[in-house]
Amino acid sequence: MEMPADTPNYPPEASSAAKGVVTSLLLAVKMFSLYADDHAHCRSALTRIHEHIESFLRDYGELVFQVEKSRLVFDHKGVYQGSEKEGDIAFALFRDGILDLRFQKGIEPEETRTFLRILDRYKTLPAEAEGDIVTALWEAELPHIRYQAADNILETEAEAEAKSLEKSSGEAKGAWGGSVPLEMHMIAENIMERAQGVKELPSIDLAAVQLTAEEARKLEEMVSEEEERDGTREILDMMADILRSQEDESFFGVVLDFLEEELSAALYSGEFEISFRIMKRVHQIRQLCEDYRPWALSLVDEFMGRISTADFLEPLGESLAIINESQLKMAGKTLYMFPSSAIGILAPMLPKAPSSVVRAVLSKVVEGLAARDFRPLEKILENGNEDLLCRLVPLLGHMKDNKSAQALLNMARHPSARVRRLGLKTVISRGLWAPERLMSLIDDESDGIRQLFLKYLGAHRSEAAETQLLIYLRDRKARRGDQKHLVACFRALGRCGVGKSLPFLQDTLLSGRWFSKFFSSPRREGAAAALAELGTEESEEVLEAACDSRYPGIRRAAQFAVSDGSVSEDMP
Amino acid sequence: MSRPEQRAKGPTWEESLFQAFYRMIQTIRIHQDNNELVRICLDEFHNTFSKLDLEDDLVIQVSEGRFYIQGERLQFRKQIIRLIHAMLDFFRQRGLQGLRFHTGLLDAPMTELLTFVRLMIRSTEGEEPAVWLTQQLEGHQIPWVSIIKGAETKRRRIDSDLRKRAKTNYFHALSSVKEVAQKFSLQGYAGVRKAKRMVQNMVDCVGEEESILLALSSIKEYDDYTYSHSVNVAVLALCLGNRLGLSRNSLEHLGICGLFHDLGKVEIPQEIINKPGRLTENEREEVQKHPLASVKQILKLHATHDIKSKILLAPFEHHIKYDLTGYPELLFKKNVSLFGRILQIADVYDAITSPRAYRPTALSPDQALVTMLESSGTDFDPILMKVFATMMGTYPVGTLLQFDTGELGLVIDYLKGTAAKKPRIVLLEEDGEGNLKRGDVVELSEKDSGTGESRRKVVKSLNPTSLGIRTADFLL
Repeated sequence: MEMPADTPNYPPEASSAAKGVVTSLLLAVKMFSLYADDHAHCRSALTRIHEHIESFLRDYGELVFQVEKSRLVFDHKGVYQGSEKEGDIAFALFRDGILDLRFQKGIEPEETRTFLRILDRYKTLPAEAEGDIVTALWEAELPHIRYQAADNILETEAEAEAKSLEKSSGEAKGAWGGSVPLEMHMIAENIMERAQGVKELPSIDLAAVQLTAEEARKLEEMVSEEEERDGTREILDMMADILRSQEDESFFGVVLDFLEEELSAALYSGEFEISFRIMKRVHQIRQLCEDYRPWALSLVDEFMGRISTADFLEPLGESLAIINESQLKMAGKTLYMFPSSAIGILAPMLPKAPSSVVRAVLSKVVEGLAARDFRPLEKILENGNEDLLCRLVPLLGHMKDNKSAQALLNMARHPSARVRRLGLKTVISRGLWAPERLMSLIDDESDGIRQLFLKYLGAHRSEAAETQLLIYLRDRKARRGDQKHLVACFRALGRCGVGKSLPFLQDTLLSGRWFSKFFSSPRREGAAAALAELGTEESEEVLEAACDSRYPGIRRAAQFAVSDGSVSEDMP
Repeated sequence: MSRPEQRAKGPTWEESLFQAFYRMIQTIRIHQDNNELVRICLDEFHNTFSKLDLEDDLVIQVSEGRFYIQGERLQFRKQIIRLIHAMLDFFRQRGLQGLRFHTGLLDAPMTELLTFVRLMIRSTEGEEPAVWLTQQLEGHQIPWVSIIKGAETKRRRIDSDLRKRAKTNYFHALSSVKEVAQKFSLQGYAGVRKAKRMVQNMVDCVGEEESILLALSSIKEYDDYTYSHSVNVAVLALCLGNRLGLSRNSLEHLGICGLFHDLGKVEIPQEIINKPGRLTENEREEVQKHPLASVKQILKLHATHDIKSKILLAPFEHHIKYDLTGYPELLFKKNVSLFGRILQIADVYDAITSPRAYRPTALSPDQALVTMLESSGTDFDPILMKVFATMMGTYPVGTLLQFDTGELGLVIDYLKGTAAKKPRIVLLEEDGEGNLKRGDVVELSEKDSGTGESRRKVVKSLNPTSLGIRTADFLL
């Protein structure tokens, strides 16, 4: 409680200056209640009131207002008449027991701003509040805004409340009172036992309990650590100790709620060491509960569900944007401990990631979570937009399981060409082999994808690929008019073929209408090239024979294939 | 005024000087003259002053809530803001506007510097501290410092005001704890507004008059033990925290921890609370859950997450010993916080000096301290225990003393500025109706002018309750 000082003697004209302060104060409080502190309206209201106060202090010295129930009084005259209801400034000050309010020379804008914030926050007080204008002013320690407060208001409230509490239940009163056996206090009990029967000990010698210089230094350290300490880590350990042994389901839930708030604060303020610790402890607790507290498991799972929602996780993007690399690493470790359902929120952050490093960490997290449970990612892959899928498809390339393989094969056939191309590339890099599933790509509208697919087919010998290509070429399904593509298909056949296609190739090269054998034909050239790529004894024999053919069309195709050999640089 | 050259980095010379000045006052306030630390701090201030190499006087002045050193405003930097506020209070309480150190300080003996600081600390004893201090400096022939008096040098609050306010705060605190506990019992939740205000008031009190609060903490209410115990623990913890130099805001949180540390006892069944005999194993287990239950209740308070975070730990820890035994058992936690260690000392001290319905005797305050000191390092933090013992003094306030003169006296406070070594006693006299009444107030250190011997020697100390004495009747 601040103590009263004398009220200065003001000249008559000071009243109108004091009224000016009150008017600008009311306006400023209104602005602070409507807009954020840094909004232009608030800034200008702050400047205005601060100027009014400074001008008053300059002209008349200390500015003192007396507070009455619904009005502010300056120099025995009312300068503001409000109403006796919550939200009114004078009433709020009166409600909290403020008797007078003093603004003194040297006041700085930051003090005025803090004062306005306090008025705005506490002008209406909910039942069972945490504090009021007086407690807030006390904590703010504003050097040039002083006040005098009385606690009789609280006394009156206390009396009224005591009556209502007694009325509610006479029995409950004193549930905590009474004489508590000393045995409740183990340490005290031991000390008392030790003291009993012992003759009176000599009183302490104060010289003997003086701190040594070393102890004083340690004490100073302890205090400054305490002052600067963020006790979150210790609180988390405490909470973990409580959960470990907790049989009370409701308390267990209350602690988890608290941890949820801590986690939220830590994630959004970029304190990922803390968030990691919370997640680690919750996992440890879950493990400890597995055998004998099934109810606890479901509470932990509910907790996990809550922290994986959009409301909880979406603002994370902002804190990720401003943290350094080591924090980012810790963020990754934290998120890795989230349930897989968090993928639904984390994955969509990928396209918007503020940097490649952040994206890399998020990708790793999504990949890790999907490895535990693929379903959330699968869902996104089914409905995600092109940008998002392009970020997710590469992740599938790192995974090993069948579900992700199936999803990847689906991505390679996605309606979006960008996604298909990326999907196919990832299929290749992952080494997935599914020519039948992907055969539709052979006629893809994109040249690049068609070429990439043929490269995929021709990457190694495979009867499956050979069969698919044989069917495709035999049935003459190849895109009409695209001779280059046709030749490329034959070449791919030659590269993947295991011999099954030899008769077809031989037939394609050597047979045909008599007349056509005099001219070049892409199918014949393709077959020759395929035979060259097959590189078997039989295929070479066919080619040799073709080189000696009396038909120039056949001969040229074979000779070209032989001279071209299995050169594949120009192969798609 | 001359100004030394400004250093480029680190604290400014003004800040270093200010810190040395603050530290010197704090150390002398806490420790005895012969303590090594006192010598170190005096040296530090003296050396800092000499290094300034000033050509004329050094002026430390307060104006409009700011400190000015050689006319230069001391910035409110985070590192020293706590010190500035503490020193502003210190100056304000003494009606000092400033101090002017003359260069003669360079040649002054350390004993003179020590005397000066002691006089500054004691100056609140006078009605007009600044005037009193000026007179004392003249009397002690200390020429190298002069007092710059403020416009209002009259002491704002005299002892009786402080005593009245402290008493009011104490009982308000008691009712606010009761109220919170009752609300938990009835409606399952409560706010902390009133508790916070009471604690803030107590923090203000503890800075001004520690011994009045300590006297209040010796009140032991039979009927509402847990309530008065909670307030006593808060008071003792605040006094200790203040001695350690904790900031106002930390003290606020520490005080709330004290008030609410046993809140979990609302969950202990009445039959256990009121059981007069030994507890069974099951009952003990039930009781030992209360630190956890306190955490539970605090979590249910209508308060921001931030404040809850600051007041959760110590109530959880207050039955965990310094060596980490005790309860609740720990697996993850590896240490006890400073607040927890403070609370534990305050808690045990109040518990063993409080009588019980089934055991009306309790240890006398001085015997309680001796016994607790024996457990230093196992049960209690040894450094904190030393500071606590120093703070309480050889005979803590509220100790009943029996003298070789046959008189009985109650320790009511200590002379200021004496680092708690010279208790003042109120003698208890029979009123002729079988009751005791308040007699003269004497100092234990009084000597017989003829023999030079102490006027009174302590034969033994007693807990006032052992003779049915209610300390409140004599101390308040």
